[in-house]
Amino acid sequence: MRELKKGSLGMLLLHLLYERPSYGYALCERLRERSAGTLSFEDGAVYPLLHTLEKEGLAEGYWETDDDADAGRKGPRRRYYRLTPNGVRALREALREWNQFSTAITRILGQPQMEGEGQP
Amino acid sequence: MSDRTNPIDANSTNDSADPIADYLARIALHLTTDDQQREAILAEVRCHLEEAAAHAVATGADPGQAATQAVMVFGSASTVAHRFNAVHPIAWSPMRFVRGAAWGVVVTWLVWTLVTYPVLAYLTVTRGAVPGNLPGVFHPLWLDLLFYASPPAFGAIWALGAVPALWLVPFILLYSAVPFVWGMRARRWWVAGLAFGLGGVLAFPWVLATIPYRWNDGNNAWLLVVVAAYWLLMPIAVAASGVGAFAATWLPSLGAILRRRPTVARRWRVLSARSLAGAALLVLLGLSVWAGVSAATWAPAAQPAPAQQIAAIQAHLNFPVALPTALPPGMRLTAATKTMVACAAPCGPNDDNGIALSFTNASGEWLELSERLPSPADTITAPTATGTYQFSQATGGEARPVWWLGEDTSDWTETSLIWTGNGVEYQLVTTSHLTQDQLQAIATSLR
Repeated sequence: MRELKKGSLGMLLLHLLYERPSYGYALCERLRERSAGTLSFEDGAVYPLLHTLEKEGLAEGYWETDDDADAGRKGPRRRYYRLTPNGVRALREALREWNQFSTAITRILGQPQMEGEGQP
Repeated sequence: MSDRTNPIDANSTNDSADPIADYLARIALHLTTDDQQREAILAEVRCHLEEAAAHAVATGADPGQAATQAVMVFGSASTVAHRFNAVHPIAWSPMRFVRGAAWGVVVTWLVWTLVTYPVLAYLTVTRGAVPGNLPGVFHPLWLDLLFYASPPAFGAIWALGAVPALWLVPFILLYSAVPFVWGMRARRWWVAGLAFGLGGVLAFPWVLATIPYRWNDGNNAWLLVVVAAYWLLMPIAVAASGVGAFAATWLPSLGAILRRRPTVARRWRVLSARSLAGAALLVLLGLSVWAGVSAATWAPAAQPAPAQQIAAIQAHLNFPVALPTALPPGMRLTAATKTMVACAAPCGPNDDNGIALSFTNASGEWLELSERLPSPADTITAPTATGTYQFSQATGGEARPVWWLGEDTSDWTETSLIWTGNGVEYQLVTTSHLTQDQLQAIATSLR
């Protein structure tokens, strides 16, 4: 499960950024909320991954501007990330692979139950 | 389900006044990115932590606990920093290259000296004599040996000829440790290795200069082998950084496999390259301390007093030993040795009948008086008439190797006086500037 989460975190971040540009803390909160606590990550794992996406040209990072939603708030400036066209393509490819994988798993698990399983 | 490990490093303080500032300082400590990138990372992490803490305070948490909780959720400072380091490998700019080469010089000198010093001290203590060619620049032996162990001196070369070269293994390993770590973090590992290796070669600038000085001075092939051996420091450093880059790429995968076996994983963490290098350095420092203490407390075996030496030799001589009563000022008896004339077997009865008395002064000038019964094997024949003195002078030169660059030549003039008295042949030899009359005065003062 650990490796599964580790491998899927990049795809999840791409997906969240596809929905709207965002910053690290908000991304962490959305991950927690949407998984309803099933998936938990160290927040510190998200940022290096965002930097990796940026270095690979899949996301673009920029410091908070006056146009951003909470620009009027107090506190240090946030660093926002938005998806690039390459990021959109990468997300599409990642989702296609994920669907193939999950379909295959579901097919296997959808076979008749193991002997003795489900019996009192 | 949670992946959260204890994020507070061992040296952290949970009761810190500002847990966020404390945490950021620990991340900064582990970051190896360039300054601009480091500031950007720290600003981004600070923003996250302060926002997380503010959010917790808004829901009723204590501010201090909220900050600590935000730090806890973020993860171990060193792990986070290492993740960032992996994303932002170090770019080796020309300035960093120069700094890397300078580090190469410093590390090479340090490791070379630390490895060689205990070997030299061990040889000195166990053999009961200081190494040959010891420069003798400093008076305390431990300092002299330390200098002899440093790269500019001959110490390591002498030790190579005296003991198996296995002691060079720790030098190679410690020397390789730095480019290994640099290779793990560099964007282009070979540049990091090249910089360090260049420093390793530059640590011995006199080696190249050896070629013109020593060419046609013996074995040219051996000279080239020695010079080439030093240049091996460069490919060794490049190879080490390559291994580092390979380890950085593949060890995480290896770590993932090992994590399935917790015991092995723990052991792997303990045996990290940094721990091994630190342990090796500690061992070397310990050995160096031992070497310093041993050399400081070591003293050559005490010789009996000259008078006792003369008495012991007198027992084997067939004539009474005579001592000069009028010596030049400052000249004093320092040693007496039994002499033996080189002879073809069967040797004559007087061939081992002799004594040499050595006198020296504070300036290092010496005077030697030899007394022996005449022997057919003698190469120098003394005047047989009593009261006749044969005076002679000889000049010569002496050459001894100085560092790698050549030889130190010194000229000397040796004065000698030979005479016979009471059937005993005497010879006075000295390099001090004594006239014939002064030597003759010493000769006539024998009692």
